[in-house]
Amino acid sequence: MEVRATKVTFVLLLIATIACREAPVLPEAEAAKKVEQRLWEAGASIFIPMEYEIFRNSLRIARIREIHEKNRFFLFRKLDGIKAEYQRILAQGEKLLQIIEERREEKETALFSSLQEVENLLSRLRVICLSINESQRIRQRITGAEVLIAVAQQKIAKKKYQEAEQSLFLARQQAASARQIVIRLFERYVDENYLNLWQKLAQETITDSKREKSLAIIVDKLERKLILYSGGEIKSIYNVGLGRFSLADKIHAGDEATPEGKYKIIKKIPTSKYYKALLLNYPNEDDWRRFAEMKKRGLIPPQVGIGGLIEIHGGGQDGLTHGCIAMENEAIDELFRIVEVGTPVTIVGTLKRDSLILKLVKEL
Amino acid sequence: MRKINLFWMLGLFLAFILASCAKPPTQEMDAAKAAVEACKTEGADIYAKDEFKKLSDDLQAALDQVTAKKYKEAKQALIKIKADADALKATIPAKKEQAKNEAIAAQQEARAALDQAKALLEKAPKGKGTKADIEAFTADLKGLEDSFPEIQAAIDNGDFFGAKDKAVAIKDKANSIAQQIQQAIEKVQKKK
Repeated sequence: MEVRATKVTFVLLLIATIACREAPVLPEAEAAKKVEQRLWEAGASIFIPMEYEIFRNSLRIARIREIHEKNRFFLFRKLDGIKAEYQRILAQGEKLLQIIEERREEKETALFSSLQEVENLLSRLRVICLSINESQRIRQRITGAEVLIAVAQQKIAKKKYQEAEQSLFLARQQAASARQIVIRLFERYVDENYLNLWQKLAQETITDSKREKSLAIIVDKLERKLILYSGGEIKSIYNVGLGRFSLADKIHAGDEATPEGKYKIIKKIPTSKYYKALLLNYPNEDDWRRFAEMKKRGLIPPQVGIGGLIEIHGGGQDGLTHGCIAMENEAIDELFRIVEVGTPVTIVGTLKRDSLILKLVKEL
Repeated sequence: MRKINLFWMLGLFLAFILASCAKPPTQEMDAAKAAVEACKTEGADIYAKDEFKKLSDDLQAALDQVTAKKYKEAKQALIKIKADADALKATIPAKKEQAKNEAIAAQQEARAALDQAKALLEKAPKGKGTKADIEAFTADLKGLEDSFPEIQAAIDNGDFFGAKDKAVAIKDKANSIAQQIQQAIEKVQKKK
C-alpha cells in the first residue's frame, strides 16, 4: 500500500514539475520582436504610421494570446496557432520593411530633386550677381539659402526628413526672395518697350554719326561696354565700370545710378581725381522734365537735387562709381585723344536682347 | 477517507478564492506609466532614443501581461520598469548638457570662422578696383551674420542638435568665403 502511495506521489510530483515549468520562448516571437525593432529603426512611424500601428497591435494580440496559452496546463497548450500568427506577422513586417525602403528612397529622391532645383536657381542667381553692381541684397539671401541647403543636406544624411523639408522650405523662400529682387531689377531690361526705345536712341546716334561723318559714343550699361563710332562704323570698344545702382536710370543726386539718354561731352578734364575725365551734360532737358514731374508727385524728397558731374573717367573699370562711367587709364588716354567737346554720348540700358544675362533672367 | 475529501475540497476552495481575488497591479502600473512619461518629458525620446524605445516596449509587454492576467509577473516587470525609467531619466540632464555644450562649441567655432573671414576682408586692399569685390564679399558675410542668431534661437528652444547643424553649416560657408577672399587678395597682389 505504501509503495503504491509513493508511486502515485512521485507521478503527481512529476506532472506538477512539468506543468509548472516555464514554457519555452517561441523563436517566432523573438523574430517578430526583432522585426518590430527594425521597423522602428527604419522610421516606420514616419513613413507608414498606420501600417506600423496595425503591425504593433497584431504583435500585441499575438503576445497576449501566447501568454494565455502558456498559462494553460501544459497538456492543453496549443502553440501551433500562435506560431503561425507570429509567422504571419513576421512576413507582414518584412513586407513593411520593403515598403519603408521604397518610401525612403522616394522621399530622398524627392528631397534631392528639390534641393537640386533650389541649388540651380541659386547658381543662376550667383552668375547674374557677377554681372551687376546691385548684388548685395541678392548675395545676402543666396548665402542664407546656401546655409539652409547645407543644413538640409545634413538632415537628409541623418534621415531627419521632416527637418530637411523645413530647411529646404526656408532655403526656397530665401532663393525666391533673391529671385524677386533680380526680376524687379531687370524689369525694364526684359520689357520690349524699353528695348525698342534704347535701340532707337542708339540707331539715331549711329545714323547721325554716319550722316555727319563724326564721332559718337554709345554706352551699353548691361554689357558694360563703351562703343566709339566714327562715321557710323564701330571704331573701338572699351570695357567700363558703372554706378553702384547702374541698372537703374539716374533720377536724382545720390541715387548712384548711371543716367540713360542722349548726352554730349561738354568739357575735357585732363587732370581729374580719376586720372582724366570727359564731363557730360547731365542733367539734360529730358532729365529736368522728369525730375520736376517726380518731385511734383512727391516721389523725390524736397531737399534732394537732381545731381550732376556725370563723367567718363579713368581710374579703372573694376570699381564702383557714383553714376559715372569708369575706364582703364590707357583706354581713357586713347578716348581723350580722339573725342572732342560736343561728341554725342548715348547711354542705354542694353542693345543686346539675347545676352546671356538676360537669358538667365528670363529663365528664372 | 471523509477527512481526506474534506481536506481536498477545502484546498480547492481556497485555491479558487485566491485565484479569483488576485487584482491587477494598478499602483505599479500607474507608477511605471508615470515614470516612463516623466522620462519622455525630460527628453529621453530625443537624447536616449534607443533606451527609451526599449523602456516603452517593456512597459507595453508588462501591460500585455496584465491583460493576460499574469499579475505576479506583470507586477515584477512594472516595478523594474519604474526603476529603469527613473534611472534613465536621471541620465538625461547630463546628455542634454553634453548636447548643449556641443552646440555652444559649434556656435563658437562658427563665430570664429565668421570673424576670421571678416578680418581677412578688412585686410583686403581697398581701392576703386576692389570696391565691388569687397562689397560682394561683405554681402556674403552679411548673409551669414543674418543666419547666425538662428543658432542661439535653436539653443534657447532646446533644439541643440539643430543648433549644431546650423553652426556647422555657417562655419563651413564662412571658411569657403574666407578662401575666396584670400584668392581675390592674391589676384590683386599679383596684378600689382
